[in-house]
Amino acid sequence: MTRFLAAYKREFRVYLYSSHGWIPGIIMLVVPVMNQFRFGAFMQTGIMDLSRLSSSWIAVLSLTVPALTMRSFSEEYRTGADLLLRTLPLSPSVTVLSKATAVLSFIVVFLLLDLVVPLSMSLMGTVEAGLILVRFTGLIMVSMVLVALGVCVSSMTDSQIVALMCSIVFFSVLSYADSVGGALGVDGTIVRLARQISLDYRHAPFVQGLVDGNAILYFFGMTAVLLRVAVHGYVSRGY
Amino acid sequence: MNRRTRTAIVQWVITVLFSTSVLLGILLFSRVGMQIDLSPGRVFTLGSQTQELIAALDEPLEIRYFVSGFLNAASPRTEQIFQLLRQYERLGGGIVTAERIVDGGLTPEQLERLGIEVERTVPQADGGAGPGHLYSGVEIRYLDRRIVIPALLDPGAVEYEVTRAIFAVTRDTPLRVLVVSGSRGERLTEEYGAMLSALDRLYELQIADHRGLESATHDVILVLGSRDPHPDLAGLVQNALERGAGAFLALDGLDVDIQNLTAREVDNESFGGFLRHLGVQIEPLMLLDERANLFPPEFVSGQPLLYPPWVRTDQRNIDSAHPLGVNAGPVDFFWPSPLRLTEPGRGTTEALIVSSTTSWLQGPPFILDPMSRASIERDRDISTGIYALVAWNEGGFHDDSRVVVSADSDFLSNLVLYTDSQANFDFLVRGIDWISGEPGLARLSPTPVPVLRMDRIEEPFARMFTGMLIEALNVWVLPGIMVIAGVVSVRRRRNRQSS
Repeated sequence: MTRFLAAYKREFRVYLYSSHGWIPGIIMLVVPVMNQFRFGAFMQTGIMDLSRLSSSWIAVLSLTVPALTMRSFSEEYRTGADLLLRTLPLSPSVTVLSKATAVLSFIVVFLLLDLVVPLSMSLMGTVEAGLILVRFTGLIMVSMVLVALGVCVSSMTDSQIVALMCSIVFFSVLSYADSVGGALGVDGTIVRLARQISLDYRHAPFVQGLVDGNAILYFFGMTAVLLRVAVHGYVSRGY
Repeated sequence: MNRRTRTAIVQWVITVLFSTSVLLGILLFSRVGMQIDLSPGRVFTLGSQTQELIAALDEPLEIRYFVSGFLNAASPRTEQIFQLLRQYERLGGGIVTAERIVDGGLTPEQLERLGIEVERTVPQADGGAGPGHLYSGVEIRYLDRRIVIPALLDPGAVEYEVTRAIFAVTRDTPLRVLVVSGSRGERLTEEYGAMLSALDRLYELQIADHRGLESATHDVILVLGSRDPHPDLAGLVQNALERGAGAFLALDGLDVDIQNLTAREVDNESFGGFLRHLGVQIEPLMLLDERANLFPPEFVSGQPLLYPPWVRTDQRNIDSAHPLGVNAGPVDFFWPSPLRLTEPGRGTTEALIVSSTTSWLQGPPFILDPMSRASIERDRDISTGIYALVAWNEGGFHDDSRVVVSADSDFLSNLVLYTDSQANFDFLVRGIDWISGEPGLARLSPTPVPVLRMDRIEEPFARMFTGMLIEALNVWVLPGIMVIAGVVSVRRRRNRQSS
């Protein structure tokens, strides 16, 4: 645990003291807030509908998380720092987990800042605390999968650009698999299968205030699988 | 085999085994369907009637939600509707599938052939693309049958509409309703077109004159009006009831000429013996109520006026102990007459909807002109009280017979379009379900989705000022602080590195 914490702190500091951590973070903070307040005349409607705040999150995360995760292993491979990392008394699983957790907690900090919106809006009227809590939980779940996918892709290549582009493509496919299937008019089993892996489809109940047990299972399961593949990628690079 | 190859094989085996077991676990546990509803008003928790209906399904049921791309992107309601449809899928545990088809490459003509209502929007003046065709409807398929809900835009009405539709499409023998006019020469499809098309979606509907009653084996008889009934009509309805049917009787105490705003009493003598047996009498008087609808300006010049002969009722006026009273919407009446309840010949008779305490009666000569307020209130002082508008009877003709009686047929006519009284049709549908012995369905009603408003600050200037402060805090101040914090943090690290 101590080793994990030490590795986690090291990784977290990388994001805290670098522009490539802050820029995506601030984008994550600003875009949903702008979407809530500046588009759709939210304050003029007089209705406490905060759904726009979370509705843009998946799109924002699909672009910002790759920017955060692209360096997690690629940079180490490129500079050769991974050789040093491998000499540390850390198992590959702990290394991968510490990197993923550091990115996730960095994202959660900015997610927490978005909670200022409902908190401040409670001055104007009743805010459904349960609904906000569920939406927040849903966002953490989605972020978890996206971070795992980003770290997984980064563990396979020593090029940050390749990691970034591949992550964006994979994120988009994973996020909107069901919409793409529906838009193409594909019927039946393929659409149903696409729905099962679609992040957007799994996340949608959380936006409405539903804690979906199946979705939570899916989020944790996907994260576990992707992190395991990341461990595989990291170990394979060592030989 | 060298160490490198061995490690690679071990890694692959672990990865494949781990991934397969996790994915299998997800698939296995996905049948559990655990869910917690923390939405406002718990709108995604489907009622016990729906749960029982879905649990009883033994063949796959397919729900397809057709929605236009513009509506889907612009209205959060469409997402709520789809999430509600997904609740049916969740309850079904694999036997129900809910699918959303956004645009789906169907032309408006194809959609209309499917039964979906399409609103064709006018192209924008500046030549812009515009929202295109708007639609939001549901198709439900079961075996070789299908039922369509042409327009579904209110999430609060989803369970009410969809559960009823599922009930209708899954019944092996559809509920059969016979509609009979009690006013000779009246064209039901013109006067009651909106209501009949609503019923037609749910039931096997047949429109007939009194002769159609002679050998009728329908589940429910719906009689509309009694301004000029055939002399045999009441007897034929009674015979049908004795054969096992139920009846919804929307009769009249007054014959109102809408064009000239005059009224005359209706002689209900032909129904007299039949109604007396049910313990109901229609008084040939006009019931007025301070709680009324506005008279539309299309009828009179000038502004809309509060019009006491158009009586409004709400939950307070309805017997909430009766299945039809549970979650009932506001039913509106047009020039109704009061019902007098007496001891029935058999069974039990009770009032279901009554007027408010601010209602009164008017006898002939009837004054209907909304501009003659003083004349409308002529008999108010001597007749203020609470009067029955709708009554029910159970067991009047055999142990299971059920009858609902109202002294106003206009409350089911196209007049409801003037007052937007959609709940009138809902009341009729619930009434038919109750009469036919589906008490669970009779309890179903549209449930409004709670809307949270920014109403904590009443003073307009203070509200506007607070709103501006909140917006500034979230859009400018907080992101600004984070930008500064980021710049400081990065520069600090650079300074440290350079020093």
